[in-house]
Formats: sequence, structure tokens, C-alpha cells
Amino acid sequence: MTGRLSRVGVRRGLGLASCVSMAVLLVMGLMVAPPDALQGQPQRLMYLHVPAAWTAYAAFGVVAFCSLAVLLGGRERMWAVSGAAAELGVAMTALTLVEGSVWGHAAWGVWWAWDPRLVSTAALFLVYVVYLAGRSLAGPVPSARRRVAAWGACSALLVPVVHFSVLWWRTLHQPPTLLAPSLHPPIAPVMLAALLVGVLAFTLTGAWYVVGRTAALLPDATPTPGGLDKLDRRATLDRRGTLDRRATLDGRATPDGRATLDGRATPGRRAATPDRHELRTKR
Amino acid sequence: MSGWAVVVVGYVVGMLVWASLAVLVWRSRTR
Repeated sequence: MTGRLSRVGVRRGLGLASCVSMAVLLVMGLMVAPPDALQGQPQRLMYLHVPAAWTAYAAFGVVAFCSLAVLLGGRERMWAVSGAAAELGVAMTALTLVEGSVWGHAAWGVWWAWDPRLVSTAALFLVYVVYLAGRSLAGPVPSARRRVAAWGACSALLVPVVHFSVLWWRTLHQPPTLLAPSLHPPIAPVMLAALLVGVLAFTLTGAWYVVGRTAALLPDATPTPGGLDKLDRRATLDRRGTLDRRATLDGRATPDGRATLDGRATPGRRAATPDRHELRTKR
Repeated sequence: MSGWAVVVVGYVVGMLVWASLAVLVWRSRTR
């Protein structure tokens, strides 16, 4: 009970911190920080673009860690955390690409360029979209989960490629600002303050998302009325229906299809309607 | 696009993504 209360407290605290820090970021990024001397107002997009990229890196690091834990026999929670972190990372990478594209159009005159940083970031996005698709296909099957976890662990190797692409190859993109090799970031203090507020706000938002979504991705999650998740429940019914229809085509269905579609699986029906992966294995 | 128009587009997109994540967390509440 105490653990449950503390989890809710952490989630609410992170949510509140995310809202407050995001409001501060808006004030800092749009009003307090001055426009850039060379680029003018569009440089303000840096306060979203860089924190989004940082959050994506961190999320993919969490995916790699939890995927290794799954490979080493980790519990269900590790699988759930890696799913929530991958969702966050994909969303943040998409935001990074969109913000970068808008900023790039203002600074370079093009929405997209076949540049090492841009291409490697797009590759990172696609790799983790594939990872999420793999998770969806794997279902509860342990061997499939291990293969997907291996993909998730290896995919993190792309993160340093993305980060150092601006140093390894000739590129339109500017070199790192915060994680620059020198100890003195080439940025005015007030701009640095706005950027750090952005990093904090996005990190808190990411932590809030992972904590909140992990609870929902765990198999014993019980829906709150009006909260989780009519969509999820419908998806579960649809998936069961799909499996059973496939089983019908395979000639292995129980006659009681209506009970199946109602989601009221009985041990007998479950035994007579093997999982799709089991069917494939038996063939 | 003028300078401020770029900023407005970028920040609106950013806040929409933030709001989407917030809605997903809100709808993922569990007992």
C-alpha cells in the first residue's frame, strides 16, 4: 500500500514538476533569452531542439539497459520500462527532427539535407520504430521478447554515431554546444540558462512519461474508471478475436467463439486455442 | 517565414508533443 502510494506520489510530483518547468522554459525561451546575433529569432528553437535530442538519447539508454536486463532474465518490469522509454525516445526523436527541419529552413534555406547528422538521426528514429513494432509482434512469448530485447540493446550503438557525426564527418550542422569537448560552452550565460531549463523540463517530462506508462504496460495493471484505457481493452479484445479467427481457419477453434470475443477466456478454451506463436512453432 | 513565425510554429509543435505525452500518462492511470 505504501509502495503504491509512493508510486502515485512520484508520478504526481513529476507531473507537477514537468508542468512548472515547461512554463518556465516558455518564459525563458521566448522572453528572457535574447535573439541570436547572427540567426535572429529562429535560434530560440534551440531551447526545444537540443533538450528533445538529449531526452531521446537518455530514453534509448534506458531501453538498452532494460533490454540487457531482459536478456539476463530480468523481470516483467524491465520489459515494461523499456517499452515506455522507447515510446518516449521515438516521440522525442520525431520532435528533434521536426524542430531541426523548421530551424534548418530558417537557417540554411532547406527543410532537409542529406547531412550525416540528419540522416543518422532519421536512422535512429526508424530503428526504434522497428523496435516498437517488434515489441508489438512479440507479445508475451519469451523467445520473441529476447530477440526484440537484443535489437533494443544493439540499437543504442547508434546514439554515439548520431552525437559524434558532427565531429566525424563534414556537416552543415553545428558542433555540440553543451557536450562540447571544451569546458567552456560557446554560448552566452542567459542562453545557457534557458537551455539548461529546457533540458531539465524535458528530462522531468520524460521521467513522468516513463513512470506513468510503465505502470500501464505491466500485465497486472487494473484500469481506473475513465482512465486506462478503453482503447487498450478494445485492442486486447481485437487481438484475441484475430487470434481466434486465425485459429478457426486452422481448424483448431472452439465452437464457443462468442465467449472468446467477450474476452472471457476459460482454461479449456485457452488450451484449445493455441497462441499464434505456438501454432507457428508447432508447424 | 519570418523569424517569429518560425518560433511560433516550433513552439506550438513542441507543446503539442508535450500535451500528447501528458494525455497518454493521464489515460494510463492504474489502480
